[in-house]
Amino acid sequence: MISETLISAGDMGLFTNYPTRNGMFDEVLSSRGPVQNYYKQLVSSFETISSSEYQTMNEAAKRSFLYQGITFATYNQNSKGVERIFPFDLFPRIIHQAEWNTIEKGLLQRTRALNLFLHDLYHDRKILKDGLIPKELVFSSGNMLKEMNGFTPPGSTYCHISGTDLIRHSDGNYYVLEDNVRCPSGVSYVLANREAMKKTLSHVFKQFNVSQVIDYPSALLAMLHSVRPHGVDEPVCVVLTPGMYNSAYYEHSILAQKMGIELVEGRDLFVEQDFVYMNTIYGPEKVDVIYRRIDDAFLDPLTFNPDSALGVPGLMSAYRKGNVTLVNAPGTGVSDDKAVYVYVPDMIKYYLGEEPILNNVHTYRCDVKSDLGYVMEHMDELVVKPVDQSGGYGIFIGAGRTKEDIALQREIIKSNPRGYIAQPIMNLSVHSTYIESKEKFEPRHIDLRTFTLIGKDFEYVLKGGLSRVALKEGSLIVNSSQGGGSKDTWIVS
Amino acid sequence: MLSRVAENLFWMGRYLERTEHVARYINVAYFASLDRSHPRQHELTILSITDMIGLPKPDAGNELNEEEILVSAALDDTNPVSILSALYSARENARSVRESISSELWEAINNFYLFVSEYPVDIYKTRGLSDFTNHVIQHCSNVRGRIQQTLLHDVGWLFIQLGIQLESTSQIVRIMISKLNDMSEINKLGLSRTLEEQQWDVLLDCLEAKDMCKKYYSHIPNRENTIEFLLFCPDFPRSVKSLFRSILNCLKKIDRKNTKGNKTIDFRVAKLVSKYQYLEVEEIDDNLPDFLEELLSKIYLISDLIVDEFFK
Repeated sequence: MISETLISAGDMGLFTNYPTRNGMFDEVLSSRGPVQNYYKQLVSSFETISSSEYQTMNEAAKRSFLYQGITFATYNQNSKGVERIFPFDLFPRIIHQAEWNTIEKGLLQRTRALNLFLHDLYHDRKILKDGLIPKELVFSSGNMLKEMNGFTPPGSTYCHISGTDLIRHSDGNYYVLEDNVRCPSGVSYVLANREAMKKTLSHVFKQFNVSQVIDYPSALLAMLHSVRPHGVDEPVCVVLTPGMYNSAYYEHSILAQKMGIELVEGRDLFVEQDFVYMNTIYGPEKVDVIYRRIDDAFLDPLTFNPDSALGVPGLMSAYRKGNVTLVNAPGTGVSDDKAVYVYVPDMIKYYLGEEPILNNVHTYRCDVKSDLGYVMEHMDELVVKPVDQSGGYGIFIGAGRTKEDIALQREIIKSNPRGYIAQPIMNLSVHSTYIESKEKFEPRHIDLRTFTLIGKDFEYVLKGGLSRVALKEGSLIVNSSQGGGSKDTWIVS
Repeated sequence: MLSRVAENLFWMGRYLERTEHVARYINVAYFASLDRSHPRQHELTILSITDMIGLPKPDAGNELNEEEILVSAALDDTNPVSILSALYSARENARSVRESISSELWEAINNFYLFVSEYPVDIYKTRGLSDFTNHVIQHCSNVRGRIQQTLLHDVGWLFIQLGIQLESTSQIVRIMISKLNDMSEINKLGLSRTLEEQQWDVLLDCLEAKDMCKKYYSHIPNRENTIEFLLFCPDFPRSVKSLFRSILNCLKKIDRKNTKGNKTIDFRVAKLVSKYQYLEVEEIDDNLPDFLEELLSKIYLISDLIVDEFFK
């Protein structure tokens, strides 16, 4: 459904010879309704910018990320690390407020259901008894923690922060690609992208009525306060980081700074008599809520990985006594397992008695015989993913692969069917993205990482999120660790 | 305040101050030595730079590779005492506490680091020495302004001050030791008195103290008034006496609530440094090199006391 000539080929500008392809949903060209007009306005604003002017702006924006230290380091070339910025595209993505309202409702509904599921799983397991979800599926997940059995965290909240990934299909609808309810990252780039956007293209930005994103840190702090342990009035909240060599360290420090709370490492904390303290220059100070950015396995060497130097010995015991709150709760990983994902729409009906607002991408579970049979026969039409990994690692896209590659992948799946799911290659929407080597815009595939907060009597969804771009032509993998970039996302009314 | 954060702030202050002293020393000493009245004077200066910064002594007999030494002092990331390395450490300390400091301060330090790390070595060693060192000095005062203006003057700020003051004291003493060595070399060569006198000028310039020294004494700087000014002037903020006073003030404020041990840290440090408040230049002039070495060892001892008291 590629359109009439919104962009006329032949004009010398950033959109010269902009490629259009049938069957691809280009949000800039194919959108209808008010968004269509917003994009028209946006494109004509960008068309007044010459290519060299745009390059200057692009460089200035990149430079501002470098100056603010919004970088990640790689240590293979140089012991002091080579610092890189995450590519940022100045052409924003627009979602209309009305459409966003529906997405927002869907995200809250989904996160509520996941919380109810986790509570059920660690208590009565009704959903398993009622046969809605196969027991083996849940118990075979490495992320189910026996330490959580029978324990209810404050507000009965497990997934306080949920980073749901959405994609837009060529039918124009949004689908949930995956849930991320362990330590979802990326929100700092939403904040940084917005700042860079406003400073670089203020004359464009001010033409639109864009929802703000700057309220995220205060919402996050309010959520942390809401789940404080029983009997604590003024909780001491901290962010727990693995340290500054972690690739998300910038995010950990910026969130702590914007909330005005301490950023601690495991070595700053200790547990005494089942209470958690931090070492200050004036002695120990009690800590009540920990927004932890380290994985379950490293939280407490006494309970989990005994070699962990990142965690705090005795933390789980203090947690189970209700003396400290961990955000997100340990053991949430069982609910964002990609094989469990298949059942989230059923969970929504089961726990909430509602129809799912956001749909799943159709998913084949390789541990189900009939599904496995289908997957084996249709490898070239599917994307195969490990159930248990994030960051775009281990993904196998069948299309264009050799027979040998496919045969090898079949064997890998057959050796561990529970370890894999498969989904049809979704036609991820594309978006106009500046390609530096070509000095002009071209369509690239995008998705949307959203951020939902749930606490005790507290719910919040960040308006917009992180639109991630697969910068490589034709690539569907948007993760920053795999060469992806990002865009500012505007909710416009 | 987390002990780890206090420690990082302390070292951030120390490394920043070190950067500035090294840059100023290179700048002043190098350009002063270009008006040479003796062919060995320039060579002595280059040796003096290696000595002050703590680079390994070049082999006697071999011709000095001036460019190599100057690059090593400033831009060599494998040399742990170069400007680049000191600044890298300052920035790593700042980065690990960036949630505790203002964005303005962090960005000032980060920009400073980017300036130094991206400075082209070829330009530096041919025609950029003045430009580079002047920019480093400007960046330092910019960073110091951000420390003063954009942070709460709370206990974290006190630890930064403590780091700056302690480093500054030790750099002043090191620079004095280094310059005294230069002068004894000049004496050995039997060079002119004027040349020796010029060295006092250079010493004061290295510490941004020449104009105020002249004003204070209404006299051209000589050995006696230069030494007195840098060690004992109560009104000049970069004299050892003033810096010790500031260090004690910081420690008193930090220590308010600390009850570790019987004797407070400010008591113990005061005991170490109190005699310097009442010394006169006549009492030390006979054996200045030993006096300065002893002073330096006390400064290192104060640093150890602080580390033990707050960071362990």
